[in-house]
Amino acid sequence: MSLKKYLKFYTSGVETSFEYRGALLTWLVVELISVSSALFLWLAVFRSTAQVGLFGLGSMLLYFALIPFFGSFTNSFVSDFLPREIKDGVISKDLIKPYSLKWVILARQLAIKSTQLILRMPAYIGVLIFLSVALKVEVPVSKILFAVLFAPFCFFVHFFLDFFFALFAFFMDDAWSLSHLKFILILIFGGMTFPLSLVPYPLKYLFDFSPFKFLYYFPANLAINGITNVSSFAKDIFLGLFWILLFWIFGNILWKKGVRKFEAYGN
Amino acid sequence: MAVIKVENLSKTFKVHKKEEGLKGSLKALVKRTYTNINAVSNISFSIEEGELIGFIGPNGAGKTTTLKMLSGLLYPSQGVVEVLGYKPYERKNEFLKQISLVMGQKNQLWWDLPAIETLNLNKEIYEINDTVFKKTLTDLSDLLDLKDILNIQVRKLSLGQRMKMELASALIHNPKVLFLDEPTIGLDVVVQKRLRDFVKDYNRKYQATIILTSHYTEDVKELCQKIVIIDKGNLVFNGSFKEIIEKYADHKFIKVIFSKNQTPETLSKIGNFVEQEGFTATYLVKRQEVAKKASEILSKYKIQDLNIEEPKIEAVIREIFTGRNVS
Repeated sequence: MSLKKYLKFYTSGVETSFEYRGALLTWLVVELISVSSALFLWLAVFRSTAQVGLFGLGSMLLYFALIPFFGSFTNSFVSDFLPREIKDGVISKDLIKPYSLKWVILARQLAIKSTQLILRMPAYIGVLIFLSVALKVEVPVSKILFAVLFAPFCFFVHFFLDFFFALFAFFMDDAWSLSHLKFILILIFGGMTFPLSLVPYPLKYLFDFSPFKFLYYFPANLAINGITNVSSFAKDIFLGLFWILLFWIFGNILWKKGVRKFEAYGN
Repeated sequence: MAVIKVENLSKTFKVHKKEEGLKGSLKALVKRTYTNINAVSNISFSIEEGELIGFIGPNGAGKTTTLKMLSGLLYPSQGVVEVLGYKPYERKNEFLKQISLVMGQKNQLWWDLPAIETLNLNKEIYEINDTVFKKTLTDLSDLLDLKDILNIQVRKLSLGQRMKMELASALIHNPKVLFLDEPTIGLDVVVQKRLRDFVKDYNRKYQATIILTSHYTEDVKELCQKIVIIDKGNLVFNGSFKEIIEKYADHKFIKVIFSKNQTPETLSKIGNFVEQEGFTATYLVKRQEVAKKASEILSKYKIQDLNIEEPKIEAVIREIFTGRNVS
């Protein structure tokens, strides 16, 4: 496999992303509004209680400030566009080129991620500074940096899951429901709306086993608490690898079957 | 040597058949009925290296479906298809590096970047070395007059400029087989002509095998040595323009310029005249009676000139599709 062509897709993707400065800034505003509303919500909740599960006000605010921070590392948008491209036949132009569409999409996702990180990171760091200075929340910088090391791993879990999800478009009549379904699953199982440690037993087993936890909860929790138990941390890493492998294998099977079924509409 | 071999090739699509109205929609929600549509039925043909072939057919005839099977976009439902010795649907990189498909209605360029970026990307995709890339780019740039538009964002190019860039991007790796699906659609006549000239030159210069589909008979007439006519998924004709006229047009036209004006009665006496303008009259004559009729006119009337003409290819093709006799 020649990496050079995928590198060129990456650089062209970065160039394209910079063409959409307006959209990048709009998304930054959306993210900041969403962080602010989560912070206001939990500030209100903690007026009547000092503890929610194992979370005090400070750690809860930190958790929700870290959600978009890690999201910018772990986000993947394949199921937002690939199902539509499959249905509309847009992928035809890729299928007749000597490259793997999966790796091209990965290169494009990494390109988007790079621009997002460059443009959004200062704002996210600003939010953490605000928490530390204005709200006196303890921000564990070294733990956050340690968790950042695992962010690419979490991204790969999300990417392969996302790609796998998107491929169902080959076998379905509509395409938009896939990205919506994924979004709902992330909302519930990813730790986007609440920290997963708040989930009671026996439901917790299900949440713990799900691949969605790697998208937000796993890195945010690692950044707040560090490694509290080595064996459970190792178990999580193996679980992540297991999901990557599983989505890789089943993704390849779906791809082969899907391309065979592909009807290349739209021309 | 046959570059493209197709034997009994078929493609069937399974299509959901819905009854009309809300009742039909509700029924379809519970139980769906499907019907099989034969987009291409049992067609066979072969194309030699360096040939420029035109695919003709009305909308929905199966031209694009055939092209998609030849380029590897679609799996055939039945039959054998071989291009450059490969099974296209396996989409092996070695095969994909030797073909190109240009779809007139589809953009393959990076919309937000200057066209040169797509060409640079294709350089990496097709692993073209620097020297060859520079030379091909210069050649294409000269042939298509691209120099001034290479660095303009694709979305800011006119349709004609974009189509020229699409062609350049599809040809930068010097494909051995080129599939052109409606490359001149929506373009004005001047750009159409320029693209036709380019395709002709390219075919001559590189001995590339080219298959072209077009609604414009002019494209096919000017460019192609042979035509393949497809209608309702079936191959109706495969041969040269001369052959198609001989096979389907059982009449010829005799155009006579008389020395003096003739009355309509006299003109009718001579034969089945279809047009009269001044001293000129055009007659529709059965192919086997042309010589006899021409000598009769020459001997009986004083004339300035006499021409025997074949019917126009557009008319022949139109009549094939409408199932009427060609005249």
